[in-house]
Amino acid sequence: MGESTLMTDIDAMNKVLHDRSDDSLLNMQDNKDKKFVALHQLYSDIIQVIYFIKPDLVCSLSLRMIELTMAKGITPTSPFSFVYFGSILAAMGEVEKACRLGECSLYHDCILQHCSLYTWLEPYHVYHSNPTYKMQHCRKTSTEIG
Amino acid sequence: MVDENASSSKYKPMVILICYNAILFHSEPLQSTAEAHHIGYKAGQQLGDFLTSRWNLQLSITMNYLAGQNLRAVQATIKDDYVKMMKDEKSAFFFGYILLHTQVIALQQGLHTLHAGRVEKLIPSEAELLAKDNSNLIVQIVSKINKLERSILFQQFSSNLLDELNISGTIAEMKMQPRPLLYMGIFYEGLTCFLCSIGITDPTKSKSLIERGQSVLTRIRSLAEHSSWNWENKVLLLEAMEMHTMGNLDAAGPLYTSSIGSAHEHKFIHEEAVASELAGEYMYEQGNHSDAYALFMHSIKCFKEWGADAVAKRVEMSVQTKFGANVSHLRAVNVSDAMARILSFDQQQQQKKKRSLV
Repeated sequence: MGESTLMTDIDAMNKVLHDRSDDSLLNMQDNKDKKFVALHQLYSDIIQVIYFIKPDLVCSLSLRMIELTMAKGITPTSPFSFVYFGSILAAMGEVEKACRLGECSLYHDCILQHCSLYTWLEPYHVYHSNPTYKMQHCRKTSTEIG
Repeated sequence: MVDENASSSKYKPMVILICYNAILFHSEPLQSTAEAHHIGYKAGQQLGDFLTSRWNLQLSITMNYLAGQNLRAVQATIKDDYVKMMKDEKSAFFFGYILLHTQVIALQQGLHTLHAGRVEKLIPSEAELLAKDNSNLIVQIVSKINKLERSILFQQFSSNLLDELNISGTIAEMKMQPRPLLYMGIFYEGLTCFLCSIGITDPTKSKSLIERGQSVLTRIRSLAEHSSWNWENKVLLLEAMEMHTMGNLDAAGPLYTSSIGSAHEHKFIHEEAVASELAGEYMYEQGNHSDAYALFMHSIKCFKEWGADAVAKRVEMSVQTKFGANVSHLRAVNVSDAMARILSFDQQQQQKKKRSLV
């Protein structure tokens, strides 16, 4: 894929994500088609290897993964779509968009595991919505460190 | 929602790792990032993903170090995990531990440890690591960042330091993905540019250093837009240094005190120490010796609290050189009262600013 085509496709995907509300991203339909789940898992396995040995390809691969997720729905490996595409946006300087996808990936990751991270997820959201908690949370962290 | 699926949970440590190390550190406090990586570490242990688990642990230790965790705690965690790692023969991340361990020991015991071989029998020194493998880009850049940090903390700047250790240039050239440690390197580079420019008599060289510092300041300001928690005190310190070097001394004072206040509020004890020392230098230059003395004493207290005993000793020596034996009248200064007065001035300034904005 040429660099200009890649950039055009990233812009197009950014527009798709921008047009979706947070609620809609967090409550996307699941896809239970075994073939699709397997395909997405294959992409996830590949991207984790590519991340180390050929990082230049992470951009196009993550774009393909998020295209699939947005078009066909959530699979167990969908958090990777959000997190890898988010890391590309962060590297491009689109920090707010990247953070939105990062939070989305954590949310889906937790839901998929029936909230085994629930105890962490709850303060995480409280932390974001409540600045006072943010302060206390960090003080607590520092106290623990100290 | 998707039913619970055995394969879904195995990615949790990796998602946490990439998410925090590449994205969310932009908006989350460094302390929370360290905590999140620790959760990733535990998740990896439970799932049997030892590689990602260990990577998360190493990032958690690094984030804690950057957030100003006590150095004794950092050193103990490194030693513990390094020994375990060598037992397991899973040594993929050994270099990160070696570099951080060397840095921590140097800050605790002094720069002579860098050339003294192994301080801990089990953990190789940075010199050994670099002699063995100097082609690894990450090793090179982390080593450079550590060297720059040591130069600031021990106030030892060689003439070609900034040419040797061009962190922002290397990051741009190698197209490295943004990471908290790399941004810290850029911050140290900016600080070094301003610090070096103070002592330089050649106006052209001094101007180019200030310009380089200003470009770093612009970059750090853009980070503070997303997380004032992590970057506000650093921006204020760089701004203070900028004003100081450009001769705008009236503007520099409040910025120094704001930086100390912000570092204190956000629990960055090590940066509070650095800002206090630099503010002390500024006050000393202004002839305000009692405030300068209080700031130096506060800096020493913060460095000791952080665990950087060798750095605290260096500041003590510098105080002795500056004030000589004649400090009896300064010893009467109540440091905490003086600090409260200096910082309350900053709060008044901030309230004024807020009122004018309203």
